[in-house]
Amino acid sequence: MGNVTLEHITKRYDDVTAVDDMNLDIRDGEFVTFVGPSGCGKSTTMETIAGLTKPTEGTINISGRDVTDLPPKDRGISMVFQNIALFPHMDVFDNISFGLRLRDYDDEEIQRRVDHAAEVVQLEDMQDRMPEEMSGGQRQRVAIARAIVRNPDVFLMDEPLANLDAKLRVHMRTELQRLHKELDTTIIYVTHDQAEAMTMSDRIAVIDSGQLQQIDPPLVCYNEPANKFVAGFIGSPSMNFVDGEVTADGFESEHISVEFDPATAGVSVGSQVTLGIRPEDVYEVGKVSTVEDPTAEIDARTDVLEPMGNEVFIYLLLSEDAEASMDSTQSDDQLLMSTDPDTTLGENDTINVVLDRSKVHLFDAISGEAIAHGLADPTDASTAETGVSSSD
Amino acid sequence: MDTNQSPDSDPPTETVSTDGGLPVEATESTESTLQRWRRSELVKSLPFWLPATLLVGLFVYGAIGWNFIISLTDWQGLRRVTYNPAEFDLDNYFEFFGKVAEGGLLGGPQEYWAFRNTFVLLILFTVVALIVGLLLALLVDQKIRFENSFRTVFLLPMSLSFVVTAVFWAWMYNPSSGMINEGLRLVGLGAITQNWISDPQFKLFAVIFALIWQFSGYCMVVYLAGLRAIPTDQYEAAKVDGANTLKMYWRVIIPQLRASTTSAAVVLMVFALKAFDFLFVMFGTQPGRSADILALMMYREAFAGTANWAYASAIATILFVMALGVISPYLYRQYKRGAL
Amino acid sequence: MSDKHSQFSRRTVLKTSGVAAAVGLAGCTGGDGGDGGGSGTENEVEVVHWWTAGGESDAIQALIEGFESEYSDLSVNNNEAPGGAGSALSTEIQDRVLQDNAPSTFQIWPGGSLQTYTESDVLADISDSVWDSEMEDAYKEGVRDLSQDDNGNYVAVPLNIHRLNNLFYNVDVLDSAGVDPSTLSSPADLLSAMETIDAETDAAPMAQSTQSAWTVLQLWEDVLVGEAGVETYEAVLESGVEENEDAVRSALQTVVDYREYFNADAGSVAWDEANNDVINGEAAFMHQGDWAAGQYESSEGFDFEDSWDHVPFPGTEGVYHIVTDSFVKPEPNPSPDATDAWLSYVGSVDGQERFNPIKGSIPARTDVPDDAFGPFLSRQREDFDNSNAQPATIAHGTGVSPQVKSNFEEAFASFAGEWNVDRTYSDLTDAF
Repeated sequence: MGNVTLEHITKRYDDVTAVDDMNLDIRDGEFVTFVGPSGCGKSTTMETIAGLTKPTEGTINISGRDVTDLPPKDRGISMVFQNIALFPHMDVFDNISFGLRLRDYDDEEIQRRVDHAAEVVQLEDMQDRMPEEMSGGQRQRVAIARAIVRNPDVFLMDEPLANLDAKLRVHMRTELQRLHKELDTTIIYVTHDQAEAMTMSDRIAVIDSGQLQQIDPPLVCYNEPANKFVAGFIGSPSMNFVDGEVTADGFESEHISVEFDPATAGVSVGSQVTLGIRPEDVYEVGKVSTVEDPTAEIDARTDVLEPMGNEVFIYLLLSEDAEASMDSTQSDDQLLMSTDPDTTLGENDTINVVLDRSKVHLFDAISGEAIAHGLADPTDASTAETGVSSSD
Repeated sequence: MDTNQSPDSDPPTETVSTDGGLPVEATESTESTLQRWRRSELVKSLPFWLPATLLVGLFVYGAIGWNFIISLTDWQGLRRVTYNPAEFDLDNYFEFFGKVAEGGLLGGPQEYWAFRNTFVLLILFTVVALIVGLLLALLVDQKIRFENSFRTVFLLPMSLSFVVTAVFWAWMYNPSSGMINEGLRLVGLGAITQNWISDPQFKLFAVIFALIWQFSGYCMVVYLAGLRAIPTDQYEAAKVDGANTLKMYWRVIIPQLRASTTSAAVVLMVFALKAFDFLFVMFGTQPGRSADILALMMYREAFAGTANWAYASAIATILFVMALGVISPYLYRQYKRGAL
Repeated sequence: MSDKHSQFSRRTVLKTSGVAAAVGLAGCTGGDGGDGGGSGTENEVEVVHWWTAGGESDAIQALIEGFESEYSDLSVNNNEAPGGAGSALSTEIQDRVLQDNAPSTFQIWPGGSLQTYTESDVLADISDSVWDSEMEDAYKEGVRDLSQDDNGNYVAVPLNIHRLNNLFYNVDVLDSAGVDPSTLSSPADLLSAMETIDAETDAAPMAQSTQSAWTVLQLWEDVLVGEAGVETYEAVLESGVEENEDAVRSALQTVVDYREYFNADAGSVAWDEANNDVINGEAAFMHQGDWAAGQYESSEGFDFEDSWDHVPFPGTEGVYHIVTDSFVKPEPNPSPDATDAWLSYVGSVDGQERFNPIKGSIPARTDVPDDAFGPFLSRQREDFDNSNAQPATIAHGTGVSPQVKSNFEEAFASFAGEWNVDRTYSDLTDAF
């Protein structure tokens, strides 16, 4: 029960393909998050699962049944909407029980179920309130209660926290996780916020341009992104990318060179690649005692500092004439690093930095596919790793 | 309309109301009363609202008050009216309602018929126009092609003057050459053709039908605006919860159009009370008892040569009170919501 | 939009009270304010009338020109108040009278319609200043009576006379049905003639408009005269319907019987639209005042006696049921002497000879030369000269007070449609 399978789901509108040959297999009880930028097709995918949109091609199975042609009410799903979508003219009880009343449950059963659902979302005493008399968080709980009262096989949640303020959103994340544990039901969750995706999910499905990029547990997506898109989308701030070429000695670009053995990493000499390194894997020379395997030193000048409290983001310019650009992580002569909050660096200081070689990612410059996650010092064969690591 | 307290977006528990309360109370107590008074927003805003308020007060509300006073006199003919408070009485109202009370199923004085017809027109016209408008709005809302054209087509009659539509409908209702009867004959329903606007059985309903034609487009636009304000989430939530299309509209969507219904109904009812122009053009001042309404009767009493000023004023006041009765619940609601 | 429609009743409310407001204001300014040409001098006669349509407008223009050439030191301020049968005019005049800003003179149906004004002593007694013995001699008694108030003082000068008791007909239609109109001597004869026409031709036996009350009311009036005679009719005008219940009911019933033979769309057309049926040969008879003849005469190839003709309404031979317009002198008057001059001219041979042929009515005076009048009007004049009774009408304001007229219209507005003799009779008993 509660497993969802998408086979070759494609949804085309007049001149746009919103979902392109999507294949997914979601297990019973799993919390899967669809994440991606606006317009990537994640919501459309969810709507096809809900039955609010009919796919152009492909089939959908829920709990082992082909539901492609069934209306939403017969799919064993329930849904929580971004705008909460409580019926404003009904009180909490009527909102929660709406679906049950449509199905002609008897009054006792309805009351029992509503009581239970209200208890789960901790709204026992509010059944006769009107939605307009409640706070945003309370309304969201009502919406969730409305979803769980029907004991669905699958919950669909379409950015349910997007309209809440930041503090409430963080609180509701834990609530949802608690709920998931308590109900043990499949949850499919759509968000554009990768932090939400990272914190709650069993697996994340990263979607871009209507295509599934990767579906894996959060840390796998973070540490071993399947391609450059996933690498850039997961993690905040975003990963640094530097275009360069593979030489016999390793990676070479204008300002950065990383020595490794192309053969071990599985790349051919002369190929165009993009190097990826997360800001927390860039270190200032002199404070690098923790880095076991640093790369060659890189000359840099500090530009802007962004103290976050627990860390400081420093924008580095790698050449004298480098212009600070908006998207520093995409630029070949800039790097973003994060460092301790007690750093003594100021703006326009000259420093040397190194990268943690074991955290360097290589992507095919054209296809964006990942080539290697973590490189080895060619002089130290004992720590050599292969291209596709299995860090578990 | 509403400023910063829309109950839809901000629940009261989270709303911190910072407005309200005159700033004058917050100024420092060391200032003299005069200084504070001159600085108060009330005084500073005077030039903006006072002239308009005085003009409207005098020429609208003053005139309504004057009209009421006239209704207390027995002014008739071309003599000067005398305002002697000692002679003020409600005789005109007693006379009017006395005559209304005399009326029965089939007969009774013209007052009874005018009063009755005014109510029938009010209720029937408003209810049916709302229903037709709602159905049109639901249809047009189905993402159909040429939606804008449909909207314009339905709304156009409303932009026409009653004078035009009354003449137009008089032609439509012509029993031998009018569209209605011709149409009925064309589809083989010649047996139910009628003298729509001369047969007393149908006269009032023919008028109501024409008015519905004219105003259902307006209702459609009001409802359409209401429908567009309902997020698609609501439709989807209802569908996911298991509602079919009919139940979705009946239990989820239409109840949310209550505000649209109220505002459209108020406008329609006020129009209904004043359907004067339409009847005047179609029938003159004498539509006969089957289609007489209070507005026409008032006009007749005052201006059809009979010069019963006081009695006409009493009818005008009764009409005014009826209109007030129609809109005051609406105004009260607005007031309760803080919109006034 | 909402204003546009609300305007009417609000304006009406305002007007009622505005009248009162204006009375107050006028009191302060010495009665010099108000609308519409209150600024005239003593040598300017402000004439308010409702003759705005083509022929009517030409007729009054001819009258004004004649007046101005006769009285070269006086001029006329021609103030039109459009609106059929004076519907707008009476509103304007009453407003202005209440504001002490009456015009020099205005058009009004004499007789009963004057009551609103004479009751309030608004009209000047012009027995001496206008009605000299020469003028009195030239008017018939029935017309002179209408010009006087209840005390027998002259207050109005009739200008023209229309006849109400006409039965117009399409010659061809009657010929093809084999009906000879000259043989019809009672309303009942007319009914059987219409039966014949209905059987013999495709035309509607009678063109009629039942859309507004007055056309039905005037038909009933002439049926009553035709069935019960002038004395009974005048008794009804005088004292109400109760004493002549049988005659009143019988006339109502006759109208109900006639109704079977009206054009099918009688309820939704105006009288002139119905009259077109006669011209087109789609209807045989038409009962209407002789203003209807203007429509025939302006129709190409539809000639008097060849195509259309006229008999007095059956049973009303010797009766000239008059509809007349007059001018009066309100008091206080902005130009008293000039107004007297105007009224004298209205009552003169010259004035009536200029006005009436264009208007399509006969002169109120009997001594106006015949030359200018066409064959139809000449025949009408002959009938008028030979008539032995000139009763007033309800529908055209001369016979009863405005209040009674309004009550009659109310009753007949319902009658036209319900066609219920009992209810209408009961309404009529309340009319007086």
